[in-house]
Amino acid sequence: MSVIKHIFKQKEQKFQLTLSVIGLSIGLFVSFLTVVLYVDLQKNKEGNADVFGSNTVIIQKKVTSFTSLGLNNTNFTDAEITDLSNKSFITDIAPFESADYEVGISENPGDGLPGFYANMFLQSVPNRFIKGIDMEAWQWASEKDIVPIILPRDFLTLVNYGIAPSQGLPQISEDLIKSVRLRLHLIGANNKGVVLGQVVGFSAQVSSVLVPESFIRYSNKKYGTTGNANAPTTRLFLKLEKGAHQELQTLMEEMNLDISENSLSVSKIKTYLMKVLMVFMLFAFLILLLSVLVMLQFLQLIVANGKKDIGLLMKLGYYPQQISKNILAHNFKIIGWVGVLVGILVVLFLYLFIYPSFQSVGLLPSFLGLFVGVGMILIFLVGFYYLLKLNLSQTILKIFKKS
Amino acid sequence: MNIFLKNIVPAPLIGKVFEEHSIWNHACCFNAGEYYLIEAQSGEGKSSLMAFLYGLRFDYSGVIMLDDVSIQSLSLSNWIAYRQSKIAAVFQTLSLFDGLTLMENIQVKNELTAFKTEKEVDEMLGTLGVLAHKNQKVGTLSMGQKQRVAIVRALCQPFEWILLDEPFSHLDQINTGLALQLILDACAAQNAGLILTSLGDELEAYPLKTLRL
Repeated sequence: MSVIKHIFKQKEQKFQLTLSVIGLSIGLFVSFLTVVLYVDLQKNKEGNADVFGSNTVIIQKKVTSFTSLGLNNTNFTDAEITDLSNKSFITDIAPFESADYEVGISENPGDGLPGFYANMFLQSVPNRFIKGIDMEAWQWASEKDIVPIILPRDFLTLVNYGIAPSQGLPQISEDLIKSVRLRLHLIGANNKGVVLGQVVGFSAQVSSVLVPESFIRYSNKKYGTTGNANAPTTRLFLKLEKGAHQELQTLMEEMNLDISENSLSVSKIKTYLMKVLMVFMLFAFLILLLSVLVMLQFLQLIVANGKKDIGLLMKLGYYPQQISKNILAHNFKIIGWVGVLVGILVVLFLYLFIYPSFQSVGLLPSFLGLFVGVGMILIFLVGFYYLLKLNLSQTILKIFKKS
Repeated sequence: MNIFLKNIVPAPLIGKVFEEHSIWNHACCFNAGEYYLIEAQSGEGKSSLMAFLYGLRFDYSGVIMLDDVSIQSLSLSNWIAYRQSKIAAVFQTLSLFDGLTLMENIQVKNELTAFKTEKEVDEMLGTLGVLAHKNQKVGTLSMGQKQRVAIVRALCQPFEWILLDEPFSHLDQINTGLALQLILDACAAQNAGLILTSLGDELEAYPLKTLRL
């Protein structure tokens, strides 16, 4: 350790330094965490994770004991649909169209996926509800075309965390499953067929496999068991005005309707969480600001207390910049370590506590968040260092300018 | 580097009439590489002259030139650069850090200039008889010991001039001789000049040009 650090170490007021370091730790921890989560949510909100916007919900009637007994049914009547579409906060409404035949899904041998077969059902919604995927890819015109598929995110979770570990199969990433083809087994009463499909997106809101409308209509004609083109509508796809979740909730209770749990909670969580995060972020920045001020004061106090020594050092040929660098070197080392430690803690915290619960609400952690967070800490530390250095040199110069 | 003084009068002495041979209010030149002894009584401005030449005080009239540079034009950084490599000094107040050890006090300078090896520093301290106190806090040393520490510290840098403000006031004849010889050797090694103020130590045996204030 350089000797001149020794001189100033004796002059330190540990209380102020401790206060500032505690403030910096808390401020950095909270701001890092909130920034990472904010970026994650923002990225998810932009539709990378879900092919539907945050304002779409799926509703259905509640299944009750009476329904099971056949005393009532869960079909929506035309009048009910018209009624719903007249609500001011509902901007768009459409029924699901469902496949009128049995569907199985399996790997396409040779494409690199482990073998599996699962029963599924196909549905479609009008194209105008689909967002966040390339509409070019969301086309199907003839039987030679590969059928574009939107998979429920739960499906992948089920495979990766349920089926794969129990059967010793490798886990599949979203990117991998997007890059291979899948087989759709269409089993009608009189007709069977296999077509190739390819995953183009994921949805946490819809629990069925979605395909383009054109394919549903074509395949219902070819494989349909009932031949009934006007199958009853049991589920509706709604588009809401921004922030209208509360009104919808009230309406749902009145009409004894069920909202597909995921769809509302996810968008709600996102919106509320982002607001909460903003508040936390603001507080964290405030704490940081205060800590910076305390630190500035602390260093100015060192200068004031060490005025005589600083004068001596300049008499011996030390530049003010060299002196401030030495005073800082010792104190800033602590701050640097705080930065590193907080970084590690936040990453641990995210991976141990936050990200595991992300999956269940259909959110995806992104490296962008961490990247932005780390970048922010680095920029803060570097900026802080130069601010302190400048302030110190200036304080020293101010004291000795005219004496 | 030659030092020219032109009509210098310290602020506290303005209005006073000076004798013919006085440095004050006359033209005077310190030639590079030569050794000067300035004799004067207390209060005649010895320390003031040293402070002017080292850029610590500016309360005087007249002009001081270092070669062709007027020192009035030097900024703080300019002065600090001079103090690192051109002008060494031992102050009457010694300017030591009482809280640091003898060795640390010397390191404060030597870390800045990296001019002497640890061995050379030890040798100098040994010559002046203070090596044994190397790890002792300077605050606990006697005035005479402190003066010797300050002298060794001043030698831990390259210089063209060394300013010594009553550096031997607490040293006996023998130690004064040892210290002055050490300083003169360092000057000779760098072709440096020396300006020494004294209240009248017996220094006739040394090759010093005597001036009066």
